[in-house]
Amino acid sequence: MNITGWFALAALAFGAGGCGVADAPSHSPEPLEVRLPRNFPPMFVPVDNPTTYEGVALGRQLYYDRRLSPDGNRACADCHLQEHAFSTPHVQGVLPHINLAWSWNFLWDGKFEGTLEEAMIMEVEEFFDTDVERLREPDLEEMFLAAFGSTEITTKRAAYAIAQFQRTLVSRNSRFDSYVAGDEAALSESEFRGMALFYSERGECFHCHATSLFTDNRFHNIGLDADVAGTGRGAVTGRASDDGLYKTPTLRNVEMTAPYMHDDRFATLEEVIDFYSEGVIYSDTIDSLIPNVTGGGLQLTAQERLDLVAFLRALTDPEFLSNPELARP
Amino acid sequence: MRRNQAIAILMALPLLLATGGCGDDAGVTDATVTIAFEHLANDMPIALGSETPYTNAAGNEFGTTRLSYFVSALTLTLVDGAEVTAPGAHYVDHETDATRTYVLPVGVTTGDLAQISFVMGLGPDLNVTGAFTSPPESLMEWPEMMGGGYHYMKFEGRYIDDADEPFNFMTHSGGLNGTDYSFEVVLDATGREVTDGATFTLEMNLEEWFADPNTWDLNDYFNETHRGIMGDADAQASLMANGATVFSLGAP
Repeated sequence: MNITGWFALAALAFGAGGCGVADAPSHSPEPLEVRLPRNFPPMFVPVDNPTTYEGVALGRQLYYDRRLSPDGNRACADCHLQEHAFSTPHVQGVLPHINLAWSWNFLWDGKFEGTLEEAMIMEVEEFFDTDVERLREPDLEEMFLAAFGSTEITTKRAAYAIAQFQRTLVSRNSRFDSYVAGDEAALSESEFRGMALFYSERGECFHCHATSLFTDNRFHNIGLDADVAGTGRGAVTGRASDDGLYKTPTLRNVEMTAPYMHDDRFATLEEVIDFYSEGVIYSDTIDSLIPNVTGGGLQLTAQERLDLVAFLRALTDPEFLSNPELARP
Repeated sequence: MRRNQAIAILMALPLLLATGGCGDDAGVTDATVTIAFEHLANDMPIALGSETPYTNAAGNEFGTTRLSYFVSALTLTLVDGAEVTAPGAHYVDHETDATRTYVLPVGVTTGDLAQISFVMGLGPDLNVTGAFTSPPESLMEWPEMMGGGYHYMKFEGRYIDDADEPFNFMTHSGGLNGTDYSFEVVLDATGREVTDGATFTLEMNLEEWFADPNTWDLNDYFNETHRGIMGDADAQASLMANGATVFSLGAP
């Protein structure tokens, strides 16, 4: 941690003083450095919320803790299941919590833009409407003390802790990653052909599902519907040019995040590929990256479809799906 | 009167000192210069959208939905031969106003300008995978399977095809499998002067990408079977040749 970070922590600790609040005599949470592969972008960590073991532990606890909701009936993890890459097949339109540390807009329509900390504050204060009184229990007070230097519990601190935990939800260990790291045997022949198609203009996947994160974090109309008026990003911005645009989801662990699209209209990856191959529909805002719209899309062969799905399955990260450090504490 | 003269001398003193004083013709060496980027089609400033209001040399009606590109090694050369080159590259995205002005990260010597030159795209020293780690620049990545590095340009939109239907086009340029298709643009700038705070405008005339010397009928390059040009070395070379007439220097 740099010196500014320590000052910020100290300020937090001093600022937390007050009646009924216990301060840690010498508060020094242990910095946690999230391990990243070389081809990942640098992770932004704000000065006022450095990632620490204690903060992540609290965030993880809160992520799985139904005390976060006023009536105690739901937690983040109820809709973000680790075995489904922190998404769920049971609730429509839930995006997976994967690599959100690099996101600057959230939800399919980007209704929320900002930092991870701001997004988590929104989740705690608006989505959950958290009542901090419910969190004032000895076990959590002890964790807040360890993370922030006092037992003072605020929605901001809860959100900041969850943001710290989110920064550890990094998926980086798929067979594709092994291939990139130099293990040429990591991909089968079919998966390799699928990768070649993915990174070609015949497959035209890589422009939106870009970089090692497999998302550009931007919005596109991919041709799902003919009538897009007032939908998607356009419903947020009010601009007709944004109608029908939705955020590009990451493809990491996509095998585990069915059903697909913002409205869960496709049950399987095969259905998704069939759509891109022959089901694309023109509308005024359709993205210029969608080829051959009048012809229905990519017009892939049966073998190409198999190969592409095989490659997408090579983006599954078993370690991420079962890592006990990310599981319910 | 004498008091006013004294004030005038005092006010002029910093200027005299900054310009080197008596008998020294050398200009200010740390002037701030800004390059502005304007994008035109058929002599009109472009507007992104699904419409197809422009016409190229082949008679294709087209419009643009996305325009982003790199310029690098931007160099100002003065009449006296002095020149300064901005290190690195600058990313331009028509949709993001802030990227359409480039405050050169180096001080520039004031004086009469002879030319402005730059590389359209990234030269081999900059076009290295991993050089840009964060968006938006990192989103210009060029697949490793095509040689890696970055797109030099993404110029996309729609044209009206031979079937009278709107058809997407993606004029994406970049280095392909080890061959560099970036090129130097040299613009005559005689009659312009570098002063502190000066702004020079580079204009990209979009329809010129499709003409001179090679006339592009978009039906030939973007159709049901030929989806794009990234993997097409002939198209990359043709586009590079057409690039010679794409840029001009805006009116002072």
